[in-house]
Amino acid sequence: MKTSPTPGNGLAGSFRTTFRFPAWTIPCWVFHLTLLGRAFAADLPADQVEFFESRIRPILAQECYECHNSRGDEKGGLNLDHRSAWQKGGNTGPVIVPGDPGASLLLKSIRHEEADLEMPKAGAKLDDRIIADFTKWIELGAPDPRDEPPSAEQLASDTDWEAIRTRRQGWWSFQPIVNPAIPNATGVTHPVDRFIRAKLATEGLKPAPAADPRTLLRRLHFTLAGLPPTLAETQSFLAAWERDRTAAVENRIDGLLAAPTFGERWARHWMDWTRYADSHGSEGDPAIPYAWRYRDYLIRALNADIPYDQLVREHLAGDLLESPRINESLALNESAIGLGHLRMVYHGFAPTDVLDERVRFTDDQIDTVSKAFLGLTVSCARCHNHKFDAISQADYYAMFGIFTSSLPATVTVDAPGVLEKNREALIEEKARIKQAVADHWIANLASVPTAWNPLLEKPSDEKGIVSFLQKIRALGEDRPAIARLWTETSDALKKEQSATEALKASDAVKIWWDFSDPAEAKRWTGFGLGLSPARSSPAGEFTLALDGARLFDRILPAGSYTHGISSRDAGLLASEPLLLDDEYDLYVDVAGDGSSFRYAVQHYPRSGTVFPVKNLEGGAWKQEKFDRLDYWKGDSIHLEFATAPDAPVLAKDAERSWFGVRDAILVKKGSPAPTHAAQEYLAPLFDRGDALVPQTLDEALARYAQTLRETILHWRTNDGTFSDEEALFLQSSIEGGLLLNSLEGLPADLLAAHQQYASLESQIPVATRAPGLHEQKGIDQALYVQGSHKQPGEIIPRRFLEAIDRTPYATTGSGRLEFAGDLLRSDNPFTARVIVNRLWSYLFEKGLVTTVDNFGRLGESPSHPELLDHLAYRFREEQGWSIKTLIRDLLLTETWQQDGLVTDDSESLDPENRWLSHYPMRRLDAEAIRDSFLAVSGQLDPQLFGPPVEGTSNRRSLYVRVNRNTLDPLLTTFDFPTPVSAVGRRDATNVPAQSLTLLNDPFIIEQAGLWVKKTPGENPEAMIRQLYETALTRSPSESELEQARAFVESIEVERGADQRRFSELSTEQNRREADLAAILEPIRRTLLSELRSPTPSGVSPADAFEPLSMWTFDQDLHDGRGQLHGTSVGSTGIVEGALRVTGDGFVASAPLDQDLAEKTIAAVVQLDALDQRGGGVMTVQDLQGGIFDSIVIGERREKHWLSGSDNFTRTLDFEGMEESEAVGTPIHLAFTYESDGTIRAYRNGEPYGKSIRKAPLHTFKAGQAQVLFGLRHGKAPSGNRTLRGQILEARLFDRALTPAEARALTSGNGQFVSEREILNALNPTHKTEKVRLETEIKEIRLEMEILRRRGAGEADPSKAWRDLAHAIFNFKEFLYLR
Amino acid sequence: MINPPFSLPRRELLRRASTGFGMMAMSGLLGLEQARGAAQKSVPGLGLPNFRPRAKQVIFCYMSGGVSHLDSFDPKPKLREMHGQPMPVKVERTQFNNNGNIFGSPFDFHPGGQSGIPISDLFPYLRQHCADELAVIRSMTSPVNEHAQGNIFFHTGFPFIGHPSAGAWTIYGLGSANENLPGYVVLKSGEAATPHGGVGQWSSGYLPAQHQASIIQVDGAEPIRNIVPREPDLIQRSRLDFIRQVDQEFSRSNQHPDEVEAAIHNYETAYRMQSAVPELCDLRDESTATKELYGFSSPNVMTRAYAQQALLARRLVERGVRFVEMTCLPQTPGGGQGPNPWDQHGGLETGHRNMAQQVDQPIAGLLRDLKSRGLLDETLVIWAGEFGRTPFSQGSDGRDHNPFGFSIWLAGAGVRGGSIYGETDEFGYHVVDGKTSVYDLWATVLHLMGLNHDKLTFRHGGRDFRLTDVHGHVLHDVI
Repeated sequence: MKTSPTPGNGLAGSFRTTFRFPAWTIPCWVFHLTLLGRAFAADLPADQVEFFESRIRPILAQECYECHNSRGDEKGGLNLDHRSAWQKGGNTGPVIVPGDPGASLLLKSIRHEEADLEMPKAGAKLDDRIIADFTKWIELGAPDPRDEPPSAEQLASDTDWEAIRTRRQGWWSFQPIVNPAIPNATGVTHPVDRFIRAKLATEGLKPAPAADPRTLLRRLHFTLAGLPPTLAETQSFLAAWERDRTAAVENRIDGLLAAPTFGERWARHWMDWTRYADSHGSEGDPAIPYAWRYRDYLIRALNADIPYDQLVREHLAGDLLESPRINESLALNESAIGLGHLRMVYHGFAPTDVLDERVRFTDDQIDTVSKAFLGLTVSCARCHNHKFDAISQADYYAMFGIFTSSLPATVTVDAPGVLEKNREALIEEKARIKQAVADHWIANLASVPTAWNPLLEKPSDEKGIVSFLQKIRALGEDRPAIARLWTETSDALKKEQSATEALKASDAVKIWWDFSDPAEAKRWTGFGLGLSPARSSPAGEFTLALDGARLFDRILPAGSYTHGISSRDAGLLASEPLLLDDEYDLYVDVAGDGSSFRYAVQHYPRSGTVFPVKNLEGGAWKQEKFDRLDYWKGDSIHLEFATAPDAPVLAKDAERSWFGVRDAILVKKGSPAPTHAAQEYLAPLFDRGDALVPQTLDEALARYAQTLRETILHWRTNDGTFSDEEALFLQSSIEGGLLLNSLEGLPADLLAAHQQYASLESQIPVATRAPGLHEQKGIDQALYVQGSHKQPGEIIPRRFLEAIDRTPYATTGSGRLEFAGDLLRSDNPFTARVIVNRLWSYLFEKGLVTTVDNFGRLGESPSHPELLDHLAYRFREEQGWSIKTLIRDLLLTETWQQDGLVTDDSESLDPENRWLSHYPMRRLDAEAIRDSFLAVSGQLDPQLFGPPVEGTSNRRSLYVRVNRNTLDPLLTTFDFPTPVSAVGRRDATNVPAQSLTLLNDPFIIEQAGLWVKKTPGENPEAMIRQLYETALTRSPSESELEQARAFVESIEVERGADQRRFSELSTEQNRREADLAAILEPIRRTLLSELRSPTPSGVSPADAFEPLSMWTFDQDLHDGRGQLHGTSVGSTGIVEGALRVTGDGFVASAPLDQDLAEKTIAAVVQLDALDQRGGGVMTVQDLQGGIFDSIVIGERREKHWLSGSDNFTRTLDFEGMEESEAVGTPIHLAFTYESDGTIRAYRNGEPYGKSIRKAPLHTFKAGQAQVLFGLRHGKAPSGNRTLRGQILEARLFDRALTPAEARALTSGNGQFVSEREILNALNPTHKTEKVRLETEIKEIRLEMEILRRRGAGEADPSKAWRDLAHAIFNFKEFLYLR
Repeated sequence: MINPPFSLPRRELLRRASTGFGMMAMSGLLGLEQARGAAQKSVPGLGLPNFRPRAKQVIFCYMSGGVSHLDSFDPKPKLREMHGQPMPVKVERTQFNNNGNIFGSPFDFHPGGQSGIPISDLFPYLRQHCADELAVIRSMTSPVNEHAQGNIFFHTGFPFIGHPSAGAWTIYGLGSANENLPGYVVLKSGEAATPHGGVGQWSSGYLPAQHQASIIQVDGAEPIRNIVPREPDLIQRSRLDFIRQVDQEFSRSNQHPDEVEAAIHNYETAYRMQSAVPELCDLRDESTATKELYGFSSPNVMTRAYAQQALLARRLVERGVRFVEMTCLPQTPGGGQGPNPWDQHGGLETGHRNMAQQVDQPIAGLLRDLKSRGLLDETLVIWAGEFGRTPFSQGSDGRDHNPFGFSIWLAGAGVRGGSIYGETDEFGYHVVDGKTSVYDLWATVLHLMGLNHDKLTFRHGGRDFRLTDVHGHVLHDVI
């Protein structure tokens, strides 16, 4: 367990900062001087010079010069770069005593014998061979031919990287994997056992005996499933054990390896290596869209035992594999999901130095990949060659080029063909429709001009052609004026067009991306079916309306579109990178709905203050301008258009969206806008050679009719010459109602074709998305001198580590595919060793190499190097990289199955249990602890896969959301790692916060209670047995039984006193309430009977209760009573007198104008679907959105209403009926919150389930709280919090309504008498009596509340048992695995 | 194999374990005297400091959002002179790219104390009572221009999570001086929110977990997560005794593994914390005069809330807690912008006035109270935000972020009170003299605490990490 600082950490000791020499070295000085005489280079024997030059000088240069040189750096006053310098010694004397190794401080220091003077500083100890060389050198008298400090040339050659690297490659982990001979060991046959036993024998240690079956079973279950065995599993295993031990174990292993829990358990380990996260961190902590798909991919892959080499390939280049791995049953391209981890980088918020950010998140990828798969810290070579390992700075930038050559993206991962469903048929159908529509239009043209008259008479708020014709009509018979209007409009249009043409040809234009040009569009990177096959569509492309009323959505000019076939199709269009070498404005002609576009700077995928994103809505063409590009002068940008769910970070969960783009133009800042002419759609009217200028409306209409006919015919021919103007002319004609576009009155065959299209289109599945990368053209990266991105140096080709192969990749792509290949090549010894060591470390508590993420010089050397190679060799060459095979093989060893008992020998000889003489005890990890609570209590929801859940969920912990800024507190308390870097070995700390959590965390106490409730027990003994068996996989001993029973009894006594008093009070309370009712009810009945006349019209009885606030949603979000008027956030609407919420919006009120403690929230609601989970109808929350009370549907149990609250603080299940009606008809819900914390629910006036009380009432403060509709809580629509349905009306009261009132609220029959009316009708005696009783009830409630806080309350005899269960959760035996 | 803080000799542990939680309950109720006793039983870190420390504790008043140095501690008459004119020098990239003209400070500056260091009208209490305690550094810089990374950088020396916070490094180096309280505490009250970047800025990173900050919500029903027992003490103690019985048997039958023994021992600490923390937060024994000093009767509700943190900060350092950080509240109740309340991109005058009013009297009260109790000599108080603000406006009446030169101050622990170090240009835009980095600040703080910043290292992921990375110089002119 890594709990103490590693040796070498920390304050390097004490006050000494300089070399210190023992006094006895001084006399040697004399001897030393005598040697000086023959220490000149010329005098030295050739063999000594040769020895120095080959064995000593390189080490001095490579390891020492940096801090001890003649160029100004003499740490400790010592210079080692020429002879006379070291002869002078350091601050306090000589360090090399020629001829006397024992007296030479240099040797002590490189042998790490001198605390605080371990050299090389902060580095690994030099190889023994080198130390031996230095010893020999000093023995020889330290012959040193270096008369002078080294020249620059000399230094360069002395510190030559090639030489250093070659030497460093001598480190064990760089050596090829061999298949070592298996040693002989008595009594064991398994090769692993033979390696282990042989070493034990050498060390004089004996192995522990085999573990007992219960210990073994528990160990197996936690190791393979992360859960304790169930009672049934234990029983069946013990029975099998009796029959045949070996078979029992093998069967259990196979069973556990085959269970889906294996993938869940081991996926979580893997997620540690790739620092899995659901969010990017930093300000805003935005979600990584669909991150969980990667987690699910790992679970499936591990369960299916996909070979490790395949998974490595997929992790680097899953999108590029020639034959990707297809999951037929889920219709997924599994391989493509493997890239997900490359997107799990930490992202800053709106960095002004955005290249720095790019370097940082690329470094994040390099760091994770190199540690996870190679066990190397390549990241350490960002600023300089690696300080200790054979990794050059160039290696780092070779990898940098590979990773930075792809775009951060959200990708579609459906199996090939899935999204193409009906595509061919749709394309054919569309072509047919086009012909038929053209025919239909032409056939109708003869009759239309008269049909246009009503259009032209409409008030002139039209746009487009209709508007132009209306202007002509307005001029009446004024022929010259009409001619003038015609000519002027035509001239203006031409002038605009020629101005744009002139601009296009001018110097002002940096880039004119014209998407009508297929060649141009092809240069862009396009992803998604929407952009395939044609990235550029010619003018006249069109889309069909699928709203059931219209025929066409629109006819389009030439450009790139994603919705030619369906607006479900995904699309992302990205330009090549572009260096902003000057100040520019960017203009984009674009249309779309639900999609967005932006310019991304240095691949930064988030939005932010200086990272604008434009959202496209409504589908109309517009020219968008970005005028702040000057800000990014000097940086590299690219343009990116994305359909709603396909943006890299800002993805929106919408089924349909699209975009289209005509052109994107970069001009010098301040240049005129390169616009398409405003009235482009009129051009076909004017563009008719020498035709006469119309002088009357009839002439104009005739010209229009003729142009329309010709344009339709032209459109129909598909001859490739149809123009943008013509397309817009047709579109404007459709929009203006001049061309038929209604499904009504269509010829039957055309209507059928259109319906067929709609039907085929509706069958297209919604794409499955996952985080990934988009491959782009590979670009080699410049090395950053000293790691400064402001100092680019030499360009480094994309390639693998030079220690293995420095050949540049011959690819135009990123090089990820080649890199994946290199990770797996047979002369790369790291990948196989690293993974077998990782797997070993989870089985044996630590790795054979304990620094599982670092096989470099600063890592530990393997305890059993031959065993490591044996495993790596077999894994790669014989086991087909099968993780399950290796794990199974290791579990079957006697080493793994031995007991945890420490022998005296091993405690003294091997306290760290490095030689594995016994099974190492360890604390369970965070997930296993939390999952164990749930498993033991019987609450564990075994559902696999899906979006992340909250920590309060009953799902397994690996599904709990990993938000970087708000990690789950329970899990982090038990060392859940911060997801920022590969973690192959978790900490297992011991901190008081863990004890506090185990003692007081409500989640844990709740689980203890639920566990006891689920545990049947005929008598205390049976109960205790059951609890111990379930939690600890063993029966309690007799003394333990007694101990537990005594504990329960003592608690019962202690709790009993409180409980008795509580019961008394409860009786008292009931009696007084009955007395009170006896006074009030007769009056109420009398008053009711007097209520014969109907209520005055228009006044609902509910209004009589005087709500604080009331929303009827007739036309708006107005509060008809108070000041809590609503504001819409996201998309909501008022539709037919109801608030409509569809999951992406909600309504928030103004802050409360008074404190609100007791209250009633009531709403009439109709749901869109019953299976929705967690949506809030009406909520009162603090303004931060963290504390709330809410009417919630289906959050904990499907189709059940719930009084939602922050982390269920005040929530228990009402246990009401399952909702079945709320879709067909509106229902009325009222939740009342009483002063003692009791919450009651009423559904259509009737009590819903039972009243609940879990915690005191929460007081919402004036000015600090608000009401929400359609959102459970929070400040933005998110996750499962939003409701889908409509809210017809809502009320807020500042008191808890009585049951009668709650009933009357919905009854609408007027049968209600208010409290005030009753009060007025009471006689004085009764009034006094009422006050007295109410006061007493209040006092009783107060005392009950105090008792409640101490645990009294529901007369629950299981409390003492819950205390026992809770105690068991705290047992170390429960938390530690033996 | 186990945490240094709990590596008591096994026999000692067992002996103590036998006293049972009944005894524990007694000792838990002895209040401050007991806590002071515990303070002598320190929880060791790496060992003794490198040299004699001047500061035993640090109180870090973190002004999240970025205080304008130009409106607080770095007067620039030139800005008033040139108010409304364009900036005559190059304007660097700003976060909002909505840069206006030169924006003279709406606040007047006056000399404070005998030293006469100028402080603006934003801080009347500090100016009147504490000017001579403040060592103002006008030449602080940061490489980061946005909040989340700025906050994380300021706390950890790296601009992203995963690295230990300065408080954690301190405890790692020196240990904690009170066994019953966490060594590194972050205070919150009222609506105080975690600054942008999340709790990662207060984490122990790769250092052992006991060094991470504990967040105390001063006025919360549960000041520390899960610190409040959910049952009567008698029942809890019964359960603890029962658990201990079982655990000891388990430990014995497994030959007393260190980690299990440490886990058993943790229950004692946890149990004591349950009473130590509420006792700490119970301010009833503080005199009215003391409370007044801090601003408990201020008409401003946010001032009152911040005052509670300030008073608690003193109570914490009294009990030997080494590193205390205070957290600002929003400008006004329900005012939003909790994670960055000083961040006035617009409405700077009102916003800064609100914020200064929130912290001025409590911090001045804290300094005076520490001084009167003789604690200021051994307590270093740091006042800083993640960056300063631009001399030109954002929009019409705000200021954007300025990391190129801004002001912080130190007080106590023998720093040169009433002094000014470093200088920005005439616009207060860039540092022109005595350029200081956050690394320098931490090097200095560690130095005051007796630690050598380049020797306080931890090996992680193939590298020896430091709070000051590969940088940092002790600011000897300030201390």
